[in-house]
Amino acid sequence: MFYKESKNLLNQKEINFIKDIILGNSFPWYYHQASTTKECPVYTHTLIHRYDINEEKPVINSNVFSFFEKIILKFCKKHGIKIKTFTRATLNSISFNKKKKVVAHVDHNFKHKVIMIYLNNTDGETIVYDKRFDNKNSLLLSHKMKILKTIKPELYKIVCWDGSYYHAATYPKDNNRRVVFVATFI
Amino acid sequence: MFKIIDNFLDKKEFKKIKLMLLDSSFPWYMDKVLLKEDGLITKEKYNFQFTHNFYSQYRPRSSFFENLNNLLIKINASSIVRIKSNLLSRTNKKIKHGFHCDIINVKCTTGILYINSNNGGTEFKDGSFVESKENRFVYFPSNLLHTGTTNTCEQPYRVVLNLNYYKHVL
Repeated sequence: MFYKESKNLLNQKEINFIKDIILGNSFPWYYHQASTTKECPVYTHTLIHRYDINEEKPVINSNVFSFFEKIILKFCKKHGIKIKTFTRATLNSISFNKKKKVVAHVDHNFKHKVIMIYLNNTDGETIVYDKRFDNKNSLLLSHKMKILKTIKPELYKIVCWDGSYYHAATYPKDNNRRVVFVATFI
Repeated sequence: MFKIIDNFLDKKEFKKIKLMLLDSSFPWYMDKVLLKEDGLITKEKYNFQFTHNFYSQYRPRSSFFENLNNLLIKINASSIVRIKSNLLSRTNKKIKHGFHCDIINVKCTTGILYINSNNGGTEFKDGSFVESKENRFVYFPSNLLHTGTTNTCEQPYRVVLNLNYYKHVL
């Protein structure tokens, strides 16, 4: 499976922006009852809404997208990854949940890559399963799958993988929050 | 010292406020629950909640403030000191953040309108505990020490409207 990661790529100015603005007390978050299913509530700040790539163009929903875009371009340049267009970008915040993990899912029904930055110290891992999108179900509720990769969250770590593999976030076991930047691109 | 009124708002009015707070277009802001110097007793990593400031420092701070007009009539407020809503995420064990007074150097009334039912609530220094129950209103003198707690039940959050205000005396 395609997978790349980088640690320590962010400079001090970028780290300060995340600490002071993104995690600061004047940055808005919006409650969504369901990230994947009803039992998986999430607080989000949408940067680019999902859209139909065949008929629409991406609409930037937040001023902070350009901040993250620069970081992603820096990451992609380092790893030789090409970006044609972003297909979704958001900031997500989740906390302890008895469900333990989000339902396994893929973000889109077309070939894409997922990129993620862990924005705080947390224990909610990202799990990538061995099963690829079956061209029918973007959510997999009861299928048996093996774990292909467990991505441990580390502060400011950037990871990128093939988005056609079903994946899921795990909720923090401790009473902490887990804040990440997630984007998809083709 | 504190008084509890259940079914405080009429159903329609309460539903309007609840839907506003839990709508996906309503902005929440991550903030600390308490500062160390104000009585924080839990670890700093648990010291966070989502808040929305409706009114503070003598003026409305939110475009949603007007939705609280009927509530302000109901609580018989002559003047507002501060109104905010708090959203605390569910935790795996109950967390108390620390006894405090919302407003220092001002003696007014503190009121809490519970937006959803859960096993979190408000604890007072004498050990009394008021459980979060939908449309329950509790009010008490603002100098009475109290602490909120998180919830550990099925509800994914505990949401309250927190009001500090002066009451009409006539």
